[in-house]
Amino acid sequence: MLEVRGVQSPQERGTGGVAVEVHDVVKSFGPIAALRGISLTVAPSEFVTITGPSGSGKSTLLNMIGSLERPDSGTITVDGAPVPEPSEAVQFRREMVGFVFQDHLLLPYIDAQSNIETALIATGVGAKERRERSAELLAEVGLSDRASHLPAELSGGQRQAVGLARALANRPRLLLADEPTGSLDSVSGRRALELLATLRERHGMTVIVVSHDPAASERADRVFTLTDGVVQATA
Amino acid sequence: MFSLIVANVRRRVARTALTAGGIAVGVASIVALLSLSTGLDNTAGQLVHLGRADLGLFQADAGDPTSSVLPLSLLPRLLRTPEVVGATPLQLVISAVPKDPSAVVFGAELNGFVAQRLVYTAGGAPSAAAHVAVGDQLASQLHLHVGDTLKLGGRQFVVSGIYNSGIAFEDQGAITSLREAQILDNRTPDETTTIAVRIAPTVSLAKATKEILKQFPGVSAISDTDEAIRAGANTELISKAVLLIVVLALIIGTLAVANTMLAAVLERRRELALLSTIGWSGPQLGTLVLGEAIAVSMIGTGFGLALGVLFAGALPPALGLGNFITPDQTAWGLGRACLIGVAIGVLGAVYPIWRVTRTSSARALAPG
Repeated sequence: MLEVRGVQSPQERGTGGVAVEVHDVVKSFGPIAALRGISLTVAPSEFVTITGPSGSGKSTLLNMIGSLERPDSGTITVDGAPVPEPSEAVQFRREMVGFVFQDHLLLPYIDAQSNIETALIATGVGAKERRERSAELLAEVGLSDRASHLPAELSGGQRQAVGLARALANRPRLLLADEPTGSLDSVSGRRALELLATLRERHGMTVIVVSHDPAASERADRVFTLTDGVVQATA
Repeated sequence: MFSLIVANVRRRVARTALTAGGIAVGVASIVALLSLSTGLDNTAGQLVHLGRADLGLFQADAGDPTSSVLPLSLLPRLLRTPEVVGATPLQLVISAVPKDPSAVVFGAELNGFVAQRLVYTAGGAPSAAAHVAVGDQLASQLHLHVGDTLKLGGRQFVVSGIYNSGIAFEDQGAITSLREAQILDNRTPDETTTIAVRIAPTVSLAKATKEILKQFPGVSAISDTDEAIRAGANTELISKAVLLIVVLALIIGTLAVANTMLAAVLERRRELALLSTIGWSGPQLGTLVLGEAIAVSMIGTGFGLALGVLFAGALPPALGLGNFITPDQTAWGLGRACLIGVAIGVLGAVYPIWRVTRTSSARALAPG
């Protein structure tokens, strides 16, 4: 079972989450309207789940908040500042956002600890510090004894935990998770969500999860339901 | 970053090996040609200083020093030039020894300074028609002794002596009278290949050369290896061949590396998009791809250097030119091959890097 351990470093305390404001965002892919004037607000350190049927625009919205895509119109601000253009968002992605993916997307040819270090290479952290930080994160997600295992040697839940540790490597203030339980069985999925919630409580970052999984909605402070590119309900 | 580069290069061993193999062949060709070219340059340099001459006179527009034809009527006028203390004609005959086509037969005036300075270890100078003195290296190679016969250009010559001069070109060849060499090379008695010239010790070589060129239009006076190389059209031809091979190796190697790296980045599209998403900048992704491309090309270059040295050593004997060309691997020659290897990696990475930096992370990361 995955468990949360470790001690929060002084640098991590007080980092806190950021507010996210989405205002009247429209996005189309050719003739298909993915988002049709979405507006929503997420408070700092809030855990929000966005749910809805396939094709409702959930992942597109998440990608735009993370600056992987730009809206056709409307505005998105994170911590009061507009989200930069995708081509100019390197610093934003390094310092502000952590991404968790459905299929964890670990590099298959390097071990768990090295996978976490890939996020630290981007910020120019030295090798020794990378090693220490990645070991600390592995301990935090309860996988210290799996540090030298390749992704193929880990269970689905463990892989997702490594993906989560990698997302936390640069101490993000906003964690974006796209179907984090999508490739896990129900038990592993619940454990992954438990880990995510616990880490949010510890680090205080804002968490936005896109998921079909009812368990993700149960963990959330608020749930937005998207249908056909618009917010249908907030719970 | 370095560990990622190494891991990626090792991921597809067969593809890396095939690409590196292609580069190795190109680099090996360059190394071999450069070392043979340098060897040929050295040979050309020896040609100038036959008989310890200060300079050699050749026909100005001869494609190659060995194809030069000079009139012997120059000789008396040359000897009257104040800067010149000695001059003797030399007829060079190529491929006259059937058993060793790379051996050169020299036709010299037997009282000239070139023939006079030969040290005989057995027998003596050729003093009669159809006599030849043989260099000790050629004698050893063909197991010749004084009194044996040696076939030159379809005629039998008697070995009158075996000599050593200390000049590889001469010691790997043979010397006969000027007239016999002219006959072997189908020349008239008034023609010679070159005139070896000795300059007065009190006169500078540059001044003497200038004076000779002024007095004898249509003649080139070659006093150092570089001039011999410039005068030799064959050497120039080899230089051009080297350039052509370099360009071909660059193009083919670049295409091979570009193809390999493009396949690699397309195959790892999601991985690279992931790195971009977690904060890797375009230059960082470019460095990763560039590092892999250079790693592959340097593996190929390493093998290419080794193969090239082996080829260069094996080629002259295989072509029967072992006596004529001694491959010479210079640090600059090997360095150039390394630079070409790096250039192949850099150029081959340009397009894949462009593709990587233009990939939309959102689309690349989309499941399925």
